[in-house]
Amino acid sequence: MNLIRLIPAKGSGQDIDYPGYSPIFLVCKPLAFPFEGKRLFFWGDEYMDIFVNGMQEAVPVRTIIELVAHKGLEADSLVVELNQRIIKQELWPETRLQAGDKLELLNFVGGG
Amino acid sequence: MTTDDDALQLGGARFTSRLFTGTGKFAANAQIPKMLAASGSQMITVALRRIDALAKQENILEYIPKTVTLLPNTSGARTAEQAVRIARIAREAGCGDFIKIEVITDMKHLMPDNWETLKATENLAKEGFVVLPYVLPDLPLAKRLENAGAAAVMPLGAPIGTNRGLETKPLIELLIENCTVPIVVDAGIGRPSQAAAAMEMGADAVLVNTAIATAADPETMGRAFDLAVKAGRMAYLARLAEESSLARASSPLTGFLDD
Repeated sequence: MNLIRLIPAKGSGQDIDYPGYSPIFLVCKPLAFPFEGKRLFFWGDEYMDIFVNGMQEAVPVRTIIELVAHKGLEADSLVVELNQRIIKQELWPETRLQAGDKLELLNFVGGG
Repeated sequence: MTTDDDALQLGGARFTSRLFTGTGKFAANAQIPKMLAASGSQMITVALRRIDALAKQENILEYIPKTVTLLPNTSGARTAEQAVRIARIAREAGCGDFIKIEVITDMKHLMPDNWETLKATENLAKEGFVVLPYVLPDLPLAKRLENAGAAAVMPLGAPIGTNRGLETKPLIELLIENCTVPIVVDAGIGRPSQAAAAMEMGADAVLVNTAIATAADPETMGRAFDLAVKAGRMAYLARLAEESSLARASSPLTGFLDD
């Protein structure tokens, strides 16, 4: 029942909250399968609230490297700042994220 | 003295080209290495921004040869604290110790905030950065920047991106006469002739971005700026002849025909 409720009807305009705080969905496992910008959920994983570039997001990741992969970003040009501390790329796999973390994902661009 | 043995020393590095360039506003990043090769520029600015998840990611650093010194700027900073944070990020990201401090609070005219820039300079110089603050030309401030450990002072010639040239010329001349650190004219230079004029009056280098990047042919314009900077520097070293308000004949006026 609840699984079905997560999937909005096309054009329904119904906004679904991420399930992080719902006791039912705390045991839901996300699968990287886009469905109108939402995801389907299966048993197991938790979503976590973090701030990425100033925007609050619920993400199904535990480490920085998972976040980078989750966002489909290329690692080479990326600079990651976690709570105002730069995290070097070699530390991304072992750097765990916690709810409320503030991340900046940056890269170098043209400028004068 | 030729321009060959006249390298600019900055932050322990040696620059034989006194033309600094920027990476902003190019129609395509692929133009950047061509412009660098044509202009001979050995220092180029880059900026740091939040990723744009929707845009195609291109690593601008891949377009800059390793022999060219990166000069990350702190554009986007509105306070000294933000500038310091950006500088630390740039250094951690492997961009080296050079930093152009750019703090802008006036979003209409894009005037640099001299006060915040001074505060950021003080902090970053203590942390071992090679600090190049971008400022409005103000002599007392420039002396304070010097005392704070700035490696150079970079006064604007005209507002960013205007290509209006050396509108602040008399004020920049004061800096050149009174400062011990190199003076790099940054912003506003729109033509090679203006770059040459800056170098003739004794600027140690110029930083040119818009005028090159938005020219129809950035590569050739880079070459033109290189020549202009070299010509201006050579003229400065050769000491310009004096101006006179009265005409003075270049040829003898006597001993001819009817005399």
